[in-house]
Formats: sequence, structure tokens, C-alpha cells
Amino acid sequence: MTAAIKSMSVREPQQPNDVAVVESDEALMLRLRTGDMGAGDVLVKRYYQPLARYIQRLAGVQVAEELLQQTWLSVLDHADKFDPQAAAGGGGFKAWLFRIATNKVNDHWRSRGRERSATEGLRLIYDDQMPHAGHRLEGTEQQQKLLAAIEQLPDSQRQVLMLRYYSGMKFVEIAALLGCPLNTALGRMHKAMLKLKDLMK
Amino acid sequence: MTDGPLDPTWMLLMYLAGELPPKQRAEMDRRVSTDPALRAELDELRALHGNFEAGMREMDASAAVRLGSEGMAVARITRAMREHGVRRESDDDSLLLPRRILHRPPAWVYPIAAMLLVGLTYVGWWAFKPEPRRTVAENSTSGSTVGGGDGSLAERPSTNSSSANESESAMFAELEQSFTDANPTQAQSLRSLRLDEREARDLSVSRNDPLQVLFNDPSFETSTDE
Repeated sequence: MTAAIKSMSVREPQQPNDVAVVESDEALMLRLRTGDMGAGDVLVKRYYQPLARYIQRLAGVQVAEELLQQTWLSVLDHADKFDPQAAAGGGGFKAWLFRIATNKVNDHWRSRGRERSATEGLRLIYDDQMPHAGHRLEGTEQQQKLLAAIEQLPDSQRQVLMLRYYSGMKFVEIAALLGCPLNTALGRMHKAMLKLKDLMK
Repeated sequence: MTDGPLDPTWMLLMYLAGELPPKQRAEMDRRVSTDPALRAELDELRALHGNFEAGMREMDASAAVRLGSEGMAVARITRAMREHGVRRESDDDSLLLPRRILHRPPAWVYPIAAMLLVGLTYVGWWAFKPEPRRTVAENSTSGSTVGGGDGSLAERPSTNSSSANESESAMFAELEQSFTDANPTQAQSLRSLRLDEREARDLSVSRNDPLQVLFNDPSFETSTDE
């Protein structure tokens, strides 16, 4: 408790960007494990865009921030279990982070169940009414077609596609994360690409 | 986790991503260079992925959240993380209760805990169960052995019930009678021992006035043989 309060009360000045870039994810995680919440701030900012986009593409805009927050709280809870050396062989901190986010999305899907598929069609319209869904109107027609095509993909294919794009994980790592064979992960990726191609025509 | 050899198309995908092992990559290099159809398929796959990634970059760039909004979202998340970190180290059980609920022990703990509880309950009952009441017949026959000719005391039953005292008195009376004629001195020793034992019992009954208890105790009797 003392360390947590100390890290909160002592507001260190904003570190230069070059210092934040130089410090590796693993080093920041080690600091976070000791209660240094400043390291957590750096990690959240560093991965906000790709992680937020990933969750948005899978779970929708409405619950994206909530799931994103749950992801980082889970990172905090399990910081002591993160092994930099073990993670290095499996994609490092980034893969570990996206693994947690994927689990949160899967939990969200399970909790929603069939209700999500029943409201699938309504969600596209509802997203247009959301304040942060302005991008849907700002993008070009081609971009909107791509977004709509992505949302029409089956969950399993969309998950592999988005995970590959936003996390940059290798197919072997993606297969391990999803608990499926490598052939299955590659197949989902390829089918997703072909379906997008058909939908974009 | 693999399920055997890669599908040729999937292998092409791995080759395009640059994730094939060196040996397989070298083999694919040779095949692509010598097979026009395979090279055409690889080009189509490369274009497909390229268009997708370009579209994603453009879409994300045009839909990029304004710095202010992102900053607010990041601030909310980091604040939540700080609060969560403080709660984790807090001594307040009420705040920690939700986490305890979320972090339940594994399922196998519950039956073991139930068995331990049942076992402890049984042990406690067995240890503190009341002694069964002994019948008069049991008291008169158990633990009472008459001493031998050396005048040793007969063992007396360990119970303090009145029926046990009566059998003890009868036992001593019988013993006294048997030794009176043979050895008056020994008989007197037995008589005094009998009185001493009674006195000890009376003292244990009432510590306030042992003499009063001794004389008022109906079980006390002077020797009728004197």
C-alpha cells in the first residue's frame, strides 16, 4: 500500500518521448510489478490505438472502452505472472497483452451469447448514432465498405484477421493464443481475405 | 499447435508472411522461381493482403480519435488502474470482497473442506460424548479384585457412584471379616484404611466441613465387629 500511494503521490514530470520509446515493454512491466503506476501509464498510451481498434473491431464501439479497461486491470492483476523471458519466445509483452484482450472479448461474446447475433444488424445502425462513430461518416466510401465487410465476417475469421493486423503476431503465436491448430488459423485468415475481396467488389 | 503438414495454400501464406522455417522457405523459393502458376498465385495473394492493409491504415487514420478524446480515455484507464492498485493493497475487506468472489478457490477444495468439517465434528462428538451409565451389576463386578493374603488393598472401581461405594464397603467388610481372626493387627489396619478412604471421599464432596460430612454421611458406619 505504501508503494502504491508513493507512486501516486509523487508525480514525476512527464518523461521525454525518446525516453519512453527507448524503455522496452518488459522493463516497464517489471516497474509496474513493483507498484510504479507511471510505467503503466506509458504502456497504456503506447498500446491504446492498436488495442482499442482491435477490441472495437471485434466487440463494437459501445463496449470497447469497458473491455479495454478490463484488459488493463487484468494486466495489473497478473503483472506478477508475466515472465519477460518466457514471453520473449511467444511474442513478448504485446502478445501477452493481446491474449488478455482476446480473452476479455471472448468473455463478452459468451455473456452476450445469441443476443449478439440477433442484434447484429441493429448494431451497424446504432453505431452511427454513437458520438465516437463519426469516423464512419468521415471515411471514404471504400473505407466504409471495408468496415462493413469486416463486420460481416464470422467471428472466428474476423478475430484472426484483426489479431494479425493489430498485434503483428506470427501465425504460430495466433494459433497458440486461440488454441487451434496452425492450419486452422491460416485457413481462417485466408478465407477472411477471400471473403473481404468478394464483399468489396 | 499444428495438425500435420501445412496445406499448400497456407504454406504460401506463411511464405508471404516470412514465417516459414529456413529449410521450407528455401524450398518455396525454388518452387516459386520455377512454377509460373505458383508465382501468379503468390502475386494475387500479395495484392490481396496489400490492399487489405492499405485499406485498414486509411480507415484507422481517417477515424483516428482526436488527441483530446484519446487522452481522456487513457486518463480514465490509468486512473482506474491506480484505484484498482490501491484497492488490491487495501486492508478494507469490504473493498476486497468483489475480488475474492472473482478469485474463487478451485472446485476440488469444497468437497475436501466438507469432509474435514464432518471429520472434525465426529472427532469432537466422540471426544466429548457423555460416559454411558453403568448398571449396578457392572459396578459390582468390574474392577474389583480381592487382595491376597499379604493384606494388600483390593482394587476398587474408579467410579464415584453410590452403588460403587456400597459394593466397596461390602468388599472391605468381607475382607475385614476374613482377616479378623487370623490377624487382629491386620484387621485394625484395614479398618483404619477404610475410614481414611471414606474421609477422603467426604473431603472431596465437601471441602467446607469434612467432619460434618463425615458424620452426616449415611454411608458412613462404624465397624460393627468391634
